[in-house]
Amino acid sequence: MDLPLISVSFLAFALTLYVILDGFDLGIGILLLFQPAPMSRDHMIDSITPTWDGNETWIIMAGVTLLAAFPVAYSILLPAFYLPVILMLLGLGFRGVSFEFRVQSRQHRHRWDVAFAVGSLVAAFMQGLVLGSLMQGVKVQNQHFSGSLLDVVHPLPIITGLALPFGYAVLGGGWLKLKSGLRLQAFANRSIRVSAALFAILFALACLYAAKIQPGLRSKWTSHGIALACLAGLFAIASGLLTTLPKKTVPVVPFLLGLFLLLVGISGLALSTFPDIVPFSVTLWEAASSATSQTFVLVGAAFVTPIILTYSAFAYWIFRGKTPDKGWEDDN
Amino acid sequence: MKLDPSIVARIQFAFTVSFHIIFPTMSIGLASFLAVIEALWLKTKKPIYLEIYKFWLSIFSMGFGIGVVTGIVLSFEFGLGFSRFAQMAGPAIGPLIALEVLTAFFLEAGFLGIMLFGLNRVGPKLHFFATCMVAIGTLLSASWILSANSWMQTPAGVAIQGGHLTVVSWRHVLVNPSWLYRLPHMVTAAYLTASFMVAGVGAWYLLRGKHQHFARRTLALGTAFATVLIAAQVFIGDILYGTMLKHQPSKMQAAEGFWEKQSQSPAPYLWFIVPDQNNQRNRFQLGTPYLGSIWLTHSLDGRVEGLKNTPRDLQPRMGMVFYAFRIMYCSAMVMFAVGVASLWLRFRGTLFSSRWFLWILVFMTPSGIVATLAGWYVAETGRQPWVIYGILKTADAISPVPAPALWSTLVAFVCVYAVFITAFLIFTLRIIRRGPSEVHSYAEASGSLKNAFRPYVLDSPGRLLTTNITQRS
Amino acid sequence: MRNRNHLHRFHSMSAALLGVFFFFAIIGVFGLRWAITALAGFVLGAVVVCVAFPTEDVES
Repeated sequence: MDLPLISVSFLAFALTLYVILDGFDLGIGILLLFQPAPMSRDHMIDSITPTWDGNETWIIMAGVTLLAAFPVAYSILLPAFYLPVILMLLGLGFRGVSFEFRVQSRQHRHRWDVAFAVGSLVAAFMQGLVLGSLMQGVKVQNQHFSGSLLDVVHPLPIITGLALPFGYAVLGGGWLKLKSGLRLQAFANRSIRVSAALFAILFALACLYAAKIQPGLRSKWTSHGIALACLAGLFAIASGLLTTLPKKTVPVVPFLLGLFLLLVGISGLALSTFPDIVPFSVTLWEAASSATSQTFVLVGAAFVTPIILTYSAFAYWIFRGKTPDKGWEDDN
Repeated sequence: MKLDPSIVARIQFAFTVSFHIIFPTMSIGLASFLAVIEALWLKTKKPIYLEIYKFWLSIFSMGFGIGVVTGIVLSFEFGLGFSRFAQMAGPAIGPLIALEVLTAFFLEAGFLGIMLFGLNRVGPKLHFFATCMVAIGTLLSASWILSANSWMQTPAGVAIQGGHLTVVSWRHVLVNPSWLYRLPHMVTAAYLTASFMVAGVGAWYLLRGKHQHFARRTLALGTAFATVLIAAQVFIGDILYGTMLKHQPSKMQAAEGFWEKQSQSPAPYLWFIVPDQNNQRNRFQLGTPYLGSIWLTHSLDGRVEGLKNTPRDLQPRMGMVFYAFRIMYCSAMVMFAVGVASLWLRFRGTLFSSRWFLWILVFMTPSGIVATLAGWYVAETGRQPWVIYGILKTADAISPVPAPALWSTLVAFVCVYAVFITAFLIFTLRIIRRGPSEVHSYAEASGSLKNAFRPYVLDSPGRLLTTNITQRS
Repeated sequence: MRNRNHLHRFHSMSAALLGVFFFFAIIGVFGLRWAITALAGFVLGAVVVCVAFPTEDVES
């Protein structure tokens, strides 16, 4: 049984769930910047308030799985991405506390909305930055990070940093279409169309640039040529559909298309890095901890994850349907 | 200013973790308190309990949110500031924290939404279930993370080969020598924190003559819990002291302030010292005669072991450990006195009218947080210079990150966290000033699980006209 | 009146001293067995006081 392969599958699973679930949370946050009406902003945030905490927890799961199963990779990647990770954590911090603080003050609510939006944007940008840095490759020597902290400030990470927020905005717009009333439907449609277009352009730009500068990527891409061509095609179709979204669609379609778009992106990333976990220097097997550690995590995960998914789905079901206009606040 | 990156990394971690621990300490206590209150509401159907629940729920949710986001920082900070520690300890503590995320974080997060926003969406029993799940989540979380930290203090169950750790026995990693003593100590600390917070706010209202019913109930509950808990806490604390004396003697040697290998006989209990670590002596010290021997050796003439029993390069800094321990211990003694006083005042029937006591309770509102922080400083600074006791030194554990980066991010954390705690305090004080809101008298506390699966609004006009409101007196 | 005051003060002092005794016992000055007994006794006493001596609000 190839434990590192199973462990990285769980890691990928956790990361994928994070991108999908917190993706639309961050997306809504980013879209706040373009929504001038305070009541609409309330409505947008209300749509994600009951479930955001569980969504965010998947990034902790991913990080801790990395620590437990691939400690060598954890100890290389985190110092390598020191600056973007800390800024992401601060952004997520502002986003998180803004949920609680904004309802305490009607006067200053718009300030907390700005904190919410900027926090979401910063977090998304930093996540994109890390993505681009991974594609760029990480300098490693003797199983320790040997590059500079400013390696992340390069054209490729910056392009992916700009791209990812748009990707999340697509998801956010899709969620908004599902959960919001009539008032915000036009806003949601506009957001989806614009974000999908920008996301697709920037993402394509990033891939082209990455292929140019990173020979490791080129070799992986040529070896998986057919699969990647299919993914690229699917990506183009999905983004094309989203960009030309008609006014009247089944509400859930844009959200699903957005999910599909991000999933295609993630699959592409997986193909581009496998079998390395620290591109392009350290493989999964080199970075893995002992069998006992991986087994502990995987057995725990095998038992508990289905339970988590069940009660999480239940929580979503409790708050199903359109978000109420008056929000979740008590009549008191 | 050129500073050693390992010092800056330590300061950064110390700051973020100190800030963080304030909030889970409150959350663990308040979550269980809320579960108890909701149970009382369901059982007695008295609106006062719903009032108490809603009041403390709003404060709880703010604290919980800050706890979550500052906690995420920590799970990455292992790697950010201490990557060499992460690489070595990952195989041992990584799985423990992974299980914490799986069994506790998701549980809390999953049911928190229902707990905070579901009062009007689900039946009371399902809502109570959600409250309980959140409370259980906080306890599970404490268990796993205390196991991980205890493993750092008293490592076991691992084999070391060439700088790499392999876990040979999960039972010994999880149930390491200090876990089962430190866990009840921390959970009791959290419960004490909540008890004094609740009692303090109640006392404040009594002093102001407002919200009398709310104030009396919460003060009575708070002081009752606090009294029982502090007795248990000093008992657990003493047992833990003995355990740490066995496994980490250097920590307890530093904690008591004695330098000589064998102190004088009888030994005083030191309250104030000016330690001189370089010369291995106290420039000045003040203590109560005989009390050291009595409390530390349980005899009238026993000698206490001093820090010189530990080689100099393995000694923690006495000043930090000593004063942290004294703050924690003195807090405990004051808490105990307050508990005894509360029993006496109940006996005499003047619990709510003794203004001097009410003022003390108000002053004691944050006492749990002070004591808990102090205790954690004992634990962490007393473990130095080790990060994994006996296995890895802190100085060898840091990341290849230059000091300026560590400094600038430390400054960023301080600024951002300052905003968080300022907002938290402003809003909490505002909630306290506003006071508990009147709960509508038709708030019903009955309902079947069957109804829970159909979202309905408790106070919709239709229901008002057609439902019988039953009040069991 | 003065005698009532003195008696009251005497009772309060006794209660305080009893508290100190319990504290010393619980932290183990007299050994582990005494510590456990004192803890159990204290908790029992506290519960009895809280239940048997109702607080001033009649409507609890």
